[in-house]
Amino acid sequence: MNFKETTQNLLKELAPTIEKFTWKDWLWTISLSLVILWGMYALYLQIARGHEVTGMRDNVVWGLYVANFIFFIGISYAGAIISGILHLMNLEWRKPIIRIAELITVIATIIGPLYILLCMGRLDRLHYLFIYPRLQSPITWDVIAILTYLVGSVIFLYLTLIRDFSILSTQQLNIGLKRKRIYRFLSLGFKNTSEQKVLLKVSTNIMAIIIIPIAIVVHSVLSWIFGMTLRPGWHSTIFGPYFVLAAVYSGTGVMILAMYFFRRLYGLQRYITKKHFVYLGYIMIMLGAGYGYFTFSEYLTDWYSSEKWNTELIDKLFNWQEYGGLFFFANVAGILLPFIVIGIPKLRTIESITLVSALMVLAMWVKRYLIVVPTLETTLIPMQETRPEYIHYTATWLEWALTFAGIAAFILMFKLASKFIPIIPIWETSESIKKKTSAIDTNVDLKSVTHA
Amino acid sequence: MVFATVMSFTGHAQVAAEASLTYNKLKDNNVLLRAVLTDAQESEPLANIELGFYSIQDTISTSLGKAISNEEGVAVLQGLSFESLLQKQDHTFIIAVEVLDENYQLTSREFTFSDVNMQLSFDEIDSVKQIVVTISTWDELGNLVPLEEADAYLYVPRMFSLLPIGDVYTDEEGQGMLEFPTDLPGDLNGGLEIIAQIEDHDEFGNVAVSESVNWGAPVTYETSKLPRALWSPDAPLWMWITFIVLMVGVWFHYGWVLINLRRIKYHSSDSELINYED
Repeated sequence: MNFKETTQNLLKELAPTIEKFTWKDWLWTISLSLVILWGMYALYLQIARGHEVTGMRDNVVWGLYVANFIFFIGISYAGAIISGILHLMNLEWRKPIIRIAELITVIATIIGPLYILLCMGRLDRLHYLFIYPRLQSPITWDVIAILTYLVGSVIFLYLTLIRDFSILSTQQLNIGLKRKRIYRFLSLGFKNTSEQKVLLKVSTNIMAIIIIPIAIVVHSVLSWIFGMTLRPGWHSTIFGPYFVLAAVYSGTGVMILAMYFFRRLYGLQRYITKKHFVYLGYIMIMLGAGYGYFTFSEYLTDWYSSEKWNTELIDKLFNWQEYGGLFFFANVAGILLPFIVIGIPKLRTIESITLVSALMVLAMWVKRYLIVVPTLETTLIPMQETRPEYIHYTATWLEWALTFAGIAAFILMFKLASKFIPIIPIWETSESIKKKTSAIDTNVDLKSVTHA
Repeated sequence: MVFATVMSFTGHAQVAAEASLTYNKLKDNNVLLRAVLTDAQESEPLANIELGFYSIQDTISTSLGKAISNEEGVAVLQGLSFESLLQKQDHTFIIAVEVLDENYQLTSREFTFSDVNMQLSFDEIDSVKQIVVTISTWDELGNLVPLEEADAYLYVPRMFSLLPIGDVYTDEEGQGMLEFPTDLPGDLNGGLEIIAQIEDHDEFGNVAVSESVNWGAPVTYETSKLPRALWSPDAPLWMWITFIVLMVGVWFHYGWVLINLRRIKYHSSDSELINYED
């Protein structure tokens, strides 16, 4: 089978996901939209009545929103680092899963910063950030870094889509003329001529290289918003690499979840195999080891120094009446569990890797919450005659509604994207299949020559 | 410091108390009275007892105010003007203390103090700077006479406490001299405040006077236009350079890729078919 036939066969298999919007798709879309609408109602109340409706107060000025922001920017690493590095290493097995990674990056980078907007008391002054930026403010660094990262991620995703747009615009598909025109426009007339091939390869390589340091800068800058602040548990020199590692780690977990989701939903078992889950599982525990090391180092240093406020914070994290339960879960599900499940071959199944990834992702979200809230509850100046709700943060239903709305928006955007573009890269996967077939043919030929 | 013992012999059991009083004439000419109340038998401080302070002049008692003793038995009355205490004839005055608690039988004790005149002057002879303390008091006829053989201690106020710079002992003219140190930091103009004090004197109590003199070493505090802080008006140069290098580097590559995308469109063939060959 030649490359063209391989491509056409693959397209034939993937075409239904693009051509049809089934009742299941409608069900997903409506359900997720309802959750988003619930969030919109919460947002309306928050704007109409002010931040009083949230659990945030004078002392604990950040809560769920900032935890969500760090979480979404973290998972966006899946595309940046994983697809970037795997692309540069030219690993064949990456090809069917690379688009999932890139989509996670773009969508998470769109959703994440929205939580910062939710956190702002005066949204009408948002433009001041661009009119009167102060370069010495970590907030300015963050805005610039995230915008740069978003633009880079979109370009990187687009570059890897051009060849598929070209296929979609030229093949017989039941998608309507208008959509075909869009594909043609987006394909930039790519016909795989020798010049186009070189230009696309060079551009993709540039973006694969450049997206890695940008991603590292983005999450380092995000960590510095905390690290530059003289608060217990935040003012740490290892926060940059700690955040970066935690981000790639959680990104890998979300990628495994997305792989499992689309594999089941679109019947992609032939392309997304156990190998992908196991390999990503290996990457995950490798990152988990680093993350565990950083976590231990961070808390050991704080605990050993016995500095007043650090000790107060550590006491809260280890106290079962306060954050002990969440802290225990964050470390057991976030560090130990992936090691046990992926490390023991008998436990290493697609389902178990997915389950442990889901728990790990949840644990990483909890960890972000534990970074934000307990520190803000540990004030440097003693608080006297203050109402309990001003000292202890409890998220209100509005904050939870907007949190779930964000998750729903993430899934919905992913789902809708998968109806417009193939979730498995057609061109690259066909290349991979062709290489595999050629290798088998060569082996057969060699064997026949040897036998003769 | 004068002590008084009060014994109670009334019907119900009352505690015998002992009081002492310290008189402080401050440098601003205000008076601070500090009484210490203790149990006469066990010498333990008596806390939370209300004390009344009185000025006695010609057998007429005038209330100066009240104060409650703390855990250490100390009751302090401050903010009194010196003029409210002084008997003009012989410059002596009587202060009475009374325990205003029924458990302690109404008792009082009188303490007599004399006023003292202390003056500071500054001499500079052959670059040697000297502080001259002149102390005098009043005789029975109301004439000012030098006070011999009196101790006075000299201080310079610093941020948290008084820095001792020496002490003087008065001669027959009531004068004592102290050579002033040359390296004491002052304000921008070398200005310093000098305080002279008579301390714990049986007759005069604690008396302080102060004068200002430009004998200190001038200290200038250089304030940087750009303090080492991120809330300074301008970002440091290195930050601008780093930012510009990073941004130009990244956005230049984005631009390069976008130009490549245009070139991909430019190199498109007229054929409707994709070249699937390697």
